[in-house]
Order: sequence, then structure tokens, then C-alpha cells
Amino acid sequence: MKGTHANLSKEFITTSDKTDWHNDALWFLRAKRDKQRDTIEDWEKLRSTAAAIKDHTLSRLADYLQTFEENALQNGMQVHWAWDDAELREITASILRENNARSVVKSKSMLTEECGLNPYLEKEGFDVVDTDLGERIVQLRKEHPSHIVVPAIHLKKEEVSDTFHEKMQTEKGNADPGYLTAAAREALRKDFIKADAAITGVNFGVAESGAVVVCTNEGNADMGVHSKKTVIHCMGLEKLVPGYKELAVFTRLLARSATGQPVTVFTSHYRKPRPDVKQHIIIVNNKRTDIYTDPEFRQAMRCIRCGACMNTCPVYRRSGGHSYHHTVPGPIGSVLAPFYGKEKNKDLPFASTLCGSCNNVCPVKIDLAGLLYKWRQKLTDETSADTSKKMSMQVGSSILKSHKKYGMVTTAFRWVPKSLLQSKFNPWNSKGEDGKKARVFPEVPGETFRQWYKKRQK
Amino acid sequence: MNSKEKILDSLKKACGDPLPRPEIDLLYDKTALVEEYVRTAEASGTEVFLGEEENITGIITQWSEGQKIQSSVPRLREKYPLVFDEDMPFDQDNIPGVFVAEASFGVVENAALWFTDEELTSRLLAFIPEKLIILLSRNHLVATMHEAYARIEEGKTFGFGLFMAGPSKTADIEQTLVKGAQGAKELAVILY
Repeated sequence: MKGTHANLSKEFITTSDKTDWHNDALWFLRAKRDKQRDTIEDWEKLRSTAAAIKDHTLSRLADYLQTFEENALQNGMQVHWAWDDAELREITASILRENNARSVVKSKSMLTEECGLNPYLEKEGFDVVDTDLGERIVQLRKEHPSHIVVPAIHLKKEEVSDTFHEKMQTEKGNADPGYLTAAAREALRKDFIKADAAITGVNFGVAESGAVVVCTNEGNADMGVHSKKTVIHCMGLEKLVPGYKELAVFTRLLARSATGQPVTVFTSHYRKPRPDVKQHIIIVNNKRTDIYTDPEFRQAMRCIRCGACMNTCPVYRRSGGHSYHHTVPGPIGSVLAPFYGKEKNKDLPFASTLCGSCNNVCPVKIDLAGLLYKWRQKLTDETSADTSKKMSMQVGSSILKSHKKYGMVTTAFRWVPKSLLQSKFNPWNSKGEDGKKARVFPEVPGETFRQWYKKRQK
Repeated sequence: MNSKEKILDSLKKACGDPLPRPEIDLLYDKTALVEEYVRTAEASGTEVFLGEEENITGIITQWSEGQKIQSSVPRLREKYPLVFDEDMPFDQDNIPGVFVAEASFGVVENAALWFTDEELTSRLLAFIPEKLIILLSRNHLVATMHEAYARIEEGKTFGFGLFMAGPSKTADIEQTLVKGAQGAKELAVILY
């Protein structure tokens, strides 16, 4: 069970001093989100409207996809359909080959991350440069994004400075974010000039107009799209909205929920290619039809990938995104992950306290805690059991079922010496990087609650 | 079956009864206030000048600090000729030091400015110059994105449409806000 969330988060918690810092960084986003919420008069109704729009769109998804394709074709776009990750990779590579494109600038796309596009293209001999600053940082470090909106949130500026010094020859030890951003801008400008093609993700597809909408703060998607002759937009099939009227609801919610901005700096609507430009849209399934077919889990397809559930999740905030060993981390990631491998992702729905904070912030009102709870039941039945967990559950159940056994065990537990409970033999205890104790088993009170209660009655 | 048929077929088999398209019926103040726009624009890192038609060029000259100005605004093109060449987008001699455009309209709740190919003439011009100065008529303000998209729907169709709310920025390094990530480093609006 080496790669489980529990083990990976232990690494994050005990081998770095980042836990509190990471926790605060994410909570900062959550607090900014709350401020934005308070400026909108009808916020709760905005959320429920968004959920209803998504449910409506999903109930007619096949029709809307066809409408979208017809309109996009009429606008001069080329439309492709990919059944799975492999097909997305192949279509992309063949478009690039047909247009003699060897190097690509790519803006943020969790979908292509999910489909392993970068490693595939690199293996096939293409150069791929991620142009979102956060994604560029993790790409240079050969890591994966630890968050879907702020990919480098797990890194301190000193680490970024070291990476840039090594890869881009910036001044050693200069960790000023302004300096580092300027250096990245200069380096990326050269990549934009050199590239033959641009690839983007998609935030929304507008069925009635055939437009794809991409939201960025940096403007990096547009730098590529408007300067290259070959452009590819990769879109998950759940990204559709019926028309502009509905798009208004989502542009009001997305950035407010994600980073606490009233809107992203750039909301670009690509409808028609420039003259002499080949612009492609790849509509991607990759197991989305499996989620769609499951009536209990279909609501997870409402997700607009804002990341609000991660920013608020007490487990995500303290364990870091890489503990989740799935492309999308946090509560929504743990709901989606079992569709991509029940056995390998069976631990993820347990990486939650089920506190429900994610439900309260989700802009499309997905019952995340409820769905995580459902997965726990299903996965316990449908996957191989972890022996230690199974045994401890059986022991626990037999003790909790019997009043007598419970009394005996809780009394006996008090005899275990504190020196043993707080020693390294108890896996509960952990040490931080500095060798100091990071988590210590709490002291056991001298008497049980019942003993205390009875004494008090007298 | 090809992938398209396979996808549509799987969806059709599972879709169930269609749900009605929801009414969007939200309560909020629909008046577009200039003071509120100035507040949201400044919060987005935009510099706002309250001007009049007569002193627009004066403000532009002053703000540009001697850099080469190019404009797509028909009434300013003679004064600030547009020489940007889309086929050589990264040629330094072509890129305006300051680019002047007119927004079709602005949104009060988030300071977003709407542009299409018509206002920009070249799509890249909204992104590649380091400084942008945007004209916005006080009569072209709407309260929220709901009014904004209603207007877009009524207006002419476009090839590229853009909401821009502030200068390009990033907070990808330790949450520290830095202006000028890939696009414009500075954005000013002349509200006239």
C-alpha cells in the first residue's frame, strides 16, 4: 500500500515544513472566494441555477454535442471525437504531423494532463512547452500539477528560484516573484516565437454558437492561438452549455469560486479561425460516458473545475495535491478517480473527513461528501480488502456491539503506559523534518466517561 | 461505429427524460453605476481616467510617455497609424508601444471590457503590446454578465470575442500577485 493517500500525505507532512504554510495558502483562496460571494445579492440562487443548467444540458447532452459540432463546422472549425485518452493523443499527433508542426505551445488543460498528452508527444519527437506559469514551473521540475487551478501551489518561491536558476540561468538565490515571473515571460516569449502550433484546454463550449471559451489570467492561451497557423482545442464532453444566456451564469461563478476574482482577466471566445489558420476542436470522452451512465454519480459531470472544493478541504489543505495520486486531486478528484481504476484508487474516497465543506462551496452544488460516502460502500464491496483494515474493522465492530466488551477494553486501554503510546512504535506519532514531534498521541484520561459520570452523580 | 457514434450512442442510451431549460431569474441591482465600475476596474489593476471626447488624445499622450502609439479606433487612426502586421506578430518594430482600442461595452460587476475582431482589427493586439489604453463610453456600461451576454446575443456575430478585465497577471509563485504575465503589463481605461 505504498502509493496510498495515507502514505503519500505522511511524506508531505513529515518530510517538509510545508503543512501549515500550504494550509494557509489554500485557505487564503477560500477566504477570497467568500468575499466575492458576499458581493453577489442572489449567490445561492446563482449556484442552484448553475446546477439546474448543467442537469438540463446533461439530460440532452447528445443533442447539444451535435448542435455544437454543426455550428462549429459552419464557423470553419474542424471537429474531432476521441473515445479515450489514446485517441486524443493520436488525433493530436496526426494533426501536428499533417501541418509539419514540431514544437507546440500549450496553455493549461487538465484534460490533456489526464490523457498523458505531453509525455506522448515528447516521445513522438515533438517539443511541448506549457505556457501557464504554474504549469511551466512543474513541467521544468518534471512534476505534475498539485492543484487544478494553481498547479505550483505546493512549491515555495525558493524552490522555484532554484529551478529557474538551473533551467533558465536566473540569478542564484533571487526568489522575488516579480523577478522570476519576468524571467519566465522573457523565456516563454521565445517559445511562442519558435512554436509551430498552439494547444489549449476548454472551459466552456457554447452549443448554440459553436464557440469554445477559454479563461486565463495570463493571456497565455491567446498568445499561442492568435499567432500560430495550427490550433487545437481539447474539450471534455461535459464542458457544454446551451447558449450565451447560460454562459453568463458560469462566467459569474467560475473565477469567484476558484480564486476569489470577480472574473478571470481574459475570457476568450473562439468562434471562427483567422484566414489561413486551421483550428481544430477535439471532443474527448475518456470514461465520461461511464460516469454519465451511473445515475448516482452523473451529477459529478456538472463540475466546472474551479478547485473550490480543494481550497476548502481540510484534508487536501494539509496533505497536498500530490498525495492523491490522480490527475484531479481533492474531493472532486476522489469522486472521479475510481472511474479510472477502482482498485488503484480505492483509497481516495477515504481521504476525506466527510465534513461537507466542499458541498457548501461547490458552485454547481455537487453532493461531494455524499458521493464520497457512496464510493466507500461500493469500493469496500467491489475491491480487494486491505487485510489490516478489514481485521481492525471486525475487531472494532465486535467491541462496539457489546457493552461489556467495550467497558473492558476501555478500562484495559488505560493500563497501556504513556511512554509506549507516545513512542515510535505507535504509528500515530510522527516527527517533522527538524526531528521534532509533529503529531503526538494524546494523553489518555485516568477514568472512562462512565466512571467520571457515575462519580459526579454521587 | 466510429468514436462519435459510440459517444452519442452511449449518451442517448443513458440520458433519461430531458429536463426543461431553466429560467434564469435572479435578483440584483440592474443599474450600471459609473462609480461602481471605477471601483471594480481599479481593483483589477486598471488605471481609470474620467475624460471627455475632447481631451482623449491629451490623456493618451500623457500616459504613453513618448512610446510609439498605434490605434484601431477609426477616429484616431490618422493620428496613431496602425502598422502592426499579423504575419510578423513578434517583430519588435511592428508591435505598438501603446495600443489604443475602443471597447464595445464594459461590465460593472467585474470591470470586464468586451472586444471583437471589429474593435481589435488584429486579435493579438489585445495581448502582445506592453501597454493598452482603452476608450469606453459611459453610455456603454452594463451591470452584470447577464446583460453583457444578452447584448452579445443581439449584436453582430463575431469570429473572436474577448472579455478583458485588467492587465495580464499571475499569482502562481507563492500567491504573490505579479502584473504582466504574458500579456499587457499595464491597462488604462478612459471613461468618456
